[in-house]
Amino acid sequence: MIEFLVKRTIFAIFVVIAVSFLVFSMSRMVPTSPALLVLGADANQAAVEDFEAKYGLNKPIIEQYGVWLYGVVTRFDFGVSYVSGRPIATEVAETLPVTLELILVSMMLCLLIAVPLGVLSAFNPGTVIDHFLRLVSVVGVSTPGFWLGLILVMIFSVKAGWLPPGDLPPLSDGIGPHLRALVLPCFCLAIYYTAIISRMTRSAVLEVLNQDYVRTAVAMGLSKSRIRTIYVLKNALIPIVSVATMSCGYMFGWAIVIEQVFNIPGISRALLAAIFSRDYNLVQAAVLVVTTAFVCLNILADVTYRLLNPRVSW
Amino acid sequence: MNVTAAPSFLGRLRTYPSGIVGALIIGSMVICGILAPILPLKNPLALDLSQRLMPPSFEHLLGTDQAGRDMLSRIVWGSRESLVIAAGAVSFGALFGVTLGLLAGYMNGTVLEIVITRCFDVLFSIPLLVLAIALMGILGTGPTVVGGFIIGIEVKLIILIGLSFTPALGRLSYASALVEVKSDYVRAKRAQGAGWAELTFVEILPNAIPSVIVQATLFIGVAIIVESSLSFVGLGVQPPTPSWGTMLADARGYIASGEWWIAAFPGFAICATVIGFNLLGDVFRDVLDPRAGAISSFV
Amino acid sequence: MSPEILLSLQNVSIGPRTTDALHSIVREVNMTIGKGEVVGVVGESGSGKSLTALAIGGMLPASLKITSGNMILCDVETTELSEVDFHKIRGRDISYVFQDPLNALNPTRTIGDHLIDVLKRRGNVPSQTARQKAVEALRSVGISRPEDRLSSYPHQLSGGMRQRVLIAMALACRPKLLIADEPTTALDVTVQATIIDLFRGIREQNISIMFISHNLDLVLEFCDTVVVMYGGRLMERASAREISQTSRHPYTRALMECVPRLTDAVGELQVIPGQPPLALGNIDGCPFAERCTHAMDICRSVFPELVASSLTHQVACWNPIVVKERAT
Repeated sequence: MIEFLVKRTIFAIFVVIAVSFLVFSMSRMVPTSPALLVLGADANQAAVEDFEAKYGLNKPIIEQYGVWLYGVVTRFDFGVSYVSGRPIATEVAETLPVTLELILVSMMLCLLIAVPLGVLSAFNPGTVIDHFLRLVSVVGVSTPGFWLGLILVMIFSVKAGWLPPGDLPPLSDGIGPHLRALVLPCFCLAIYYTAIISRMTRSAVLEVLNQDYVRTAVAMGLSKSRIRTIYVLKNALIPIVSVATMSCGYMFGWAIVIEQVFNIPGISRALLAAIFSRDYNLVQAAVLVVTTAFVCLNILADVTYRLLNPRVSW
Repeated sequence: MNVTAAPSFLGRLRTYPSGIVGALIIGSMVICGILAPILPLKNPLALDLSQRLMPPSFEHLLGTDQAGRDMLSRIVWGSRESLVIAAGAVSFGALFGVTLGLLAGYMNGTVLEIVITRCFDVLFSIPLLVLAIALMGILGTGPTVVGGFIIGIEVKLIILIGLSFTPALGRLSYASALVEVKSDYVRAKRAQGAGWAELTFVEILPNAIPSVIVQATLFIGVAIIVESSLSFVGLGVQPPTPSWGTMLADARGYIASGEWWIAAFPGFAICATVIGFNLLGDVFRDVLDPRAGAISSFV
Repeated sequence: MSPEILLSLQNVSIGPRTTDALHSIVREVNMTIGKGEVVGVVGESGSGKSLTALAIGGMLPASLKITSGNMILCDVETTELSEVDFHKIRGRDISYVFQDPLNALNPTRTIGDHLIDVLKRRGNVPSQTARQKAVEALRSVGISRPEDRLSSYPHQLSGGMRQRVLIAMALACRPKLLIADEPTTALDVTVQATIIDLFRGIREQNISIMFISHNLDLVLEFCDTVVVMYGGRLMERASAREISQTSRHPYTRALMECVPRLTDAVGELQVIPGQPPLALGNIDGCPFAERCTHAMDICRSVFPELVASSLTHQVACWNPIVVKERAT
């Protein structure tokens, strides 16, 4: 297990560095200097040169990257935002937890709906529940989350007034408003993976039901509930845990759109804003953080799979 | 003992009603999209501020948007963008991925195989939607000049979105190729002197194609959603070109004021098209590759 | 019914839910298993022997059912028994050992868990006692270091050991009838012999066994009675001795002759030309007629009745082999 972890971690570090270097160098290779983008197209040469010197933009790319990476790794110093002047580390610290919360709550919602639906559907093939699952899985996978958000806001916020159309009041303002504000965004973020995971659960359970060891259990006269829980579910749910973990990673991407629609102050929205304001330092930092999270979740998914599955030695 | 001839692919397809529904949906979308210039549609770019924000009526079947443009015609024209980009992305991903996957499988046991599979591993480890957004933002949404070539926004989208499909399709064809390369039949042919071209295209490729087709069909749906998401946030197709994503972005300003049709119809179009591809893909899977695991999105 | 008879199958037919007895896959099977008797059921793949075995415990797949006839177990009519009631019988009066041990154990549970599950089925057994009984059960099937084995997972055991564990589980139910469907077929020949020894030991505990196999020789080694099936039909039923010395059905004879013996003169291996029928359920007459050297015209259109040639010997054949009966 240790050997496996070490290998995976080295690979992960390599990936994160490769990605962040790619983004870093691309942003530095843009013909227009960030100075002009921030100060305005008609800024004079001296101001541009000052700007570039201030942010070290006149040095070779590798050196710039090296300096930046060193700062990140040793001091969590992501540099300073061109636009706001604030240290980026603060921005990250403020926005990352919000997105993490959004993703976690969405995944919990997803699993709460998807797993029981898939299990019930597999145990009762051909019934209403089974057809309902098929409907949900096709529609859920085909509906763009952001459009669903617009429609739901129109119905539940504008027309009915039950739920807020956006913004996320902090927990300090009360847990009620906070949770109410999370309902729609989490639902929209979760629906795609709910569709996928419910389908996957259903086919995993069906596959296990056909295994010899279930037949053995029936032949030995074990009770139906025992068979269903200990023999069927315990085996079928192993891959689901890994898939759910990895899906959390993919949610970072979809959160970009969802946070935009619902005006949630998370890191994905900050990334988007930074792209449009040409705040490349923030873009880099956000990409680095998100990629790291993604890679960590992948490793976590592998580890949990190995831990849960006795057939894979650890 | 009589053995009935195995039913043909189309014959079996016909027994799945959901597949027929899917095919019909897609078929009508594609046909409308292709024929858009000659269909009796209003001009999708024609501004007419006196007609702005009109609800659905006989004059404008799906209403008009904030610039007075007819929604129905914008949706039909918008389908061209979405379908072309989605199909292009999946084709690019398939071409790139399948070639690499087959190569890796054929070169089983060499360094090249390890390099290619490691590349797939790396691509799988990257949150590609995030990267695509970042790169689209940095490269900009206008044409980019790369070494003498001008790359338009559609091409950029096709390449970036297509890259996210490359590892999955690559792994699928790699797995099929491995099975074939190790089979006794192929080894015998190789020993008899068959060249790589013959082996790859006659023996190995036909085995990889079914699962690739299934996955590619499902990926088209994903590509449509990704493209419309990118356009929605402003990093995809740019106005005034009609695109479902940008239409939805415009609609944001009007959900509070009750002009629901601007948001509803483009979204329905996306849903319907993606549902069509998913139904078709599911049916393909039942017919071509029933043992396929559920490879969900990798975006 | 005689108190010595545990299980009685009277004209039992098994087929798809939508058919009747005439078009069933298994047709008109008659057999009995007495207390402590070991009955061997012999037949090729597709002869219907496995379906019969499953039917006894109510474990037929959902698409099949008993289309006619009666099944009586321990004086209780079980033909139309509900799933709930069958559930009470399984693991108590009947237990099974199936063919392929590779996948027959839950990969996420230890051997000990499996045995304790079965032991607790019989009533509330405290954990400590259950553990001890599990160890004894493993020891009784010849597994060495049983205390250590309790915490092993199935994938850590060889095929032969897994089959022993399954037999231990089947025995832990203290069944009246143990149904073993090809228990040694998936194992190496050397391991087979040890498993057969186990079954001999079970026989001595006065448990009835229904031993299903395609290997007539194996069955003759230790079964009391032999039932021969082909194409879903019962062909011959007799004591093991009668089958080996005075078998009368051409199919049984052919099977006997297929097995090469060390004492035979050197020559070609005997085979039965042809293939077993594929589409059961649509055959009038005797399913073996096509391959039978004794076939007559009537064989192809009407299935023969079961005729007794001695108290224990019954044959279903229009043209059985005539054997000079020795004085017994």
